Amino acid sequence: MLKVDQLSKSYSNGKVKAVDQVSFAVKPGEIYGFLGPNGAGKTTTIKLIVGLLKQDGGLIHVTGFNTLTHPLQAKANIGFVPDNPQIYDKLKGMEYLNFMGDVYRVSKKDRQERIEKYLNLFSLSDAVNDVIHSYSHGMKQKIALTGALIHDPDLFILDEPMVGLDPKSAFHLKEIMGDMCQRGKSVFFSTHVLEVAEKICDRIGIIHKGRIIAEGTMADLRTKAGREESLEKIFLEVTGV
Amino acid sequence: MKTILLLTKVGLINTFNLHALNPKHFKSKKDALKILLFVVVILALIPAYRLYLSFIRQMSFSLLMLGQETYFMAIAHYVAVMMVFFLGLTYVLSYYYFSRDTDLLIPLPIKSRHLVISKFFSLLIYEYILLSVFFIPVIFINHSLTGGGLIYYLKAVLLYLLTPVVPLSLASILIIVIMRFTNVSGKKDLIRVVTMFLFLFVLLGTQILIQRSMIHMAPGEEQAFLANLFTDNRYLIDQLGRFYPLSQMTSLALYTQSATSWLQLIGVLAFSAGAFVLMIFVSETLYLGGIIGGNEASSKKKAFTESDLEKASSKTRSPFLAVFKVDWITLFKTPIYLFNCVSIVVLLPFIFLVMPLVSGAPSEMDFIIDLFHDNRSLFVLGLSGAYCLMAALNPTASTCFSREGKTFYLSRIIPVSSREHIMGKALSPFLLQVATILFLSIGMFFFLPLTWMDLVVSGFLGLLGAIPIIFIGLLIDINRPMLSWDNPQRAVKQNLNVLISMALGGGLTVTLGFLTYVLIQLDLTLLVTVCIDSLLLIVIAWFVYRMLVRRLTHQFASIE
Repeated sequence: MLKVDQLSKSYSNGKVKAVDQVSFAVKPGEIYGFLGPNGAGKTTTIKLIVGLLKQDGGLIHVTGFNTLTHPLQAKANIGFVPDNPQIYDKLKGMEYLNFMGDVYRVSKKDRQERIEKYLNLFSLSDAVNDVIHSYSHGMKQKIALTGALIHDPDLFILDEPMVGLDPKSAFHLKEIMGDMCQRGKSVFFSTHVLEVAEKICDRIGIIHKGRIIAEGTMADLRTKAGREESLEKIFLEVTGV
Repeated sequence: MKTILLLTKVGLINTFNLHALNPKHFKSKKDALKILLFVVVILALIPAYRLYLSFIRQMSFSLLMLGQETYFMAIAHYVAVMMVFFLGLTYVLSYYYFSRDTDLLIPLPIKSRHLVISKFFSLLIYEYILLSVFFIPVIFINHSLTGGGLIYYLKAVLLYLLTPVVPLSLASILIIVIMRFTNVSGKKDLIRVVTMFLFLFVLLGTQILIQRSMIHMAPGEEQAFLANLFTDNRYLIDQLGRFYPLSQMTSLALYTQSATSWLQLIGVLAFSAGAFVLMIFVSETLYLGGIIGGNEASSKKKAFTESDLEKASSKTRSPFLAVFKVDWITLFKTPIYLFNCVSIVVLLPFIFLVMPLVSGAPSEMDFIIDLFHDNRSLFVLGLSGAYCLMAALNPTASTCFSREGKTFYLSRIIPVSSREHIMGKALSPFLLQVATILFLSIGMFFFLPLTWMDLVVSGFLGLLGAIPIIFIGLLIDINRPMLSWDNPQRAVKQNLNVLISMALGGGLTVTLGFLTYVLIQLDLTLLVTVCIDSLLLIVIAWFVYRMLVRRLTHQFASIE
């Protein structure tokens, strides 16, 4: 579903390597957690995948499409929610959702079904007719999530999705992730909430100073650590924090 | 005072993005190129500036010949005051109320008076920079009329510093009062926009009436006017002084070396201090009331039923229309964008058509009517050229990506092709051009003996000509979008892209205008000329479009 191969990105004329020859793959039906300390390269990697940054080297394939040569096809299969979703705040919630439905070419029937489902799930029905400017941070996060899910993407990418969500919405988001994977879709998300990653991820990648320093299932990571430990302890050990 | 200076300093650094000018903070060669581009734009404006200088020099000579040299500084001051006041209205609105730093400053233990004064000072410095370009040459040329040594220049510097104080104080007072009394729940933005427009029309209307009264001359009074002009060397300045005493005082303060000039200077000082103190008083009383909760949007929290959903999502649009709709809604719902991009559609026809008629300046209309009768073809083609210039003057296209600001990432992650983006983004400026042409056509239809065909031909060329101009605007903006701003005003008013697009669009119009003139001299019929012009415009639009597609694709993939 997502294949990242020898991905590199540097800043300040190559002096700062934000992402350094990173390779990993997310299979269909898999939830992949992307962990790392602040400034490790998580957001840069995500921005490279969704097309907000251009890599210096390496390749990214989304559902088989090279993001450099077939960016539109790759984007059509991605649903993305950034860490601080800035959305058109002069629009009403419903106008934003219709915009997302239009640009992802979602049929009327599918659009109505999904909007109804997610609005109910995130308790947004009462707010969807108001301008987004009047929303709280969490509500903006939820309308952004609904917008990113409106085309039922094959690959759902989230940067720090749990920040700002109330417990109920966070619970429902985890359910949505699980449901997507059961239907053969994939989820790739970054987080600092290690308990969530430990609980719901099929595989985990830990990035540090732009390089993947550990990757695998929880069992793999524990084997590498040599003892039964929590993800938190493994994370602290491998990153040396 | 310390707080005010500190706030002013922070405000200036933030508003002008001063750190970005420091070579130490350059991240890449592109940053240095931005500075270079700025220098190139300034250099490119030198020929126009030389024209301005020769114009004011010529004007000063003419007034000297008439013995009305005191009028020179007075009229320059009057123009400067009007410029500061009308520009100040939008600057004050955006900087006092819609700048994001205000939200950060309000919770701090700072007096509202200090906050407003610091904002006032920041704008004042901005006005000094703008004014210096226009006003400093006036001071030097005026010196050749008045004479005087060091004292003249000391007084001139003081008067230059005082010039924007009164108009900016009045603009601040007006905006603070409007914002306070329109800070009501419900459709606040709409109420504010309507009120602002009403005030703008009232102000323009007042200007018209004053001008009318100044130049009004009853039949048979022409000789008396000329006699006054030659016998009374303060005739013109006294006429102006009846309505704008400040301009009269400023000129007279520089003109003579006697005690009277010092009295005039004291008068200007008193006027300025009075306006400033009044502004402080109004801000102390009303500013916080207008800003607290002023940017909050009301929510109805009305339950969204299944039938509502059915109705709201019953229509699917093509992606380019979806892009257009977001742009259009944002344009109309953001007061700053509405004022800078949309109001021009209503104001330009008002200024060009209604003002000459109502102000009783028949000479301007007579000139237009004479031109129409003398050469109908030239008039129709000239009209379409004027439409094209209006498209070049409108900043909607040249700020369409900059206006997205922090939401620009959304445009880049959605699976929408460059072609669809361009169509979606070009539609708003195009529709505004349609509206401009419609307003002007309807107006002219009543004032001039134009046929439907004249209006259709000029309108058609005006619309066709707007297409390459709009594409040029998009191209300039995507090449260097200004995305990092905390005040929507910066995306439009402090965006160099607007100036570059205006120059290029204006240049294209003038070049085509010259070519058209040559075609007319060749005795080609109107139809043939229109066909050649249309063909040229289509070819230019196609070339610019191709460039735009390539540039947009590249920029969407690589902007960091």
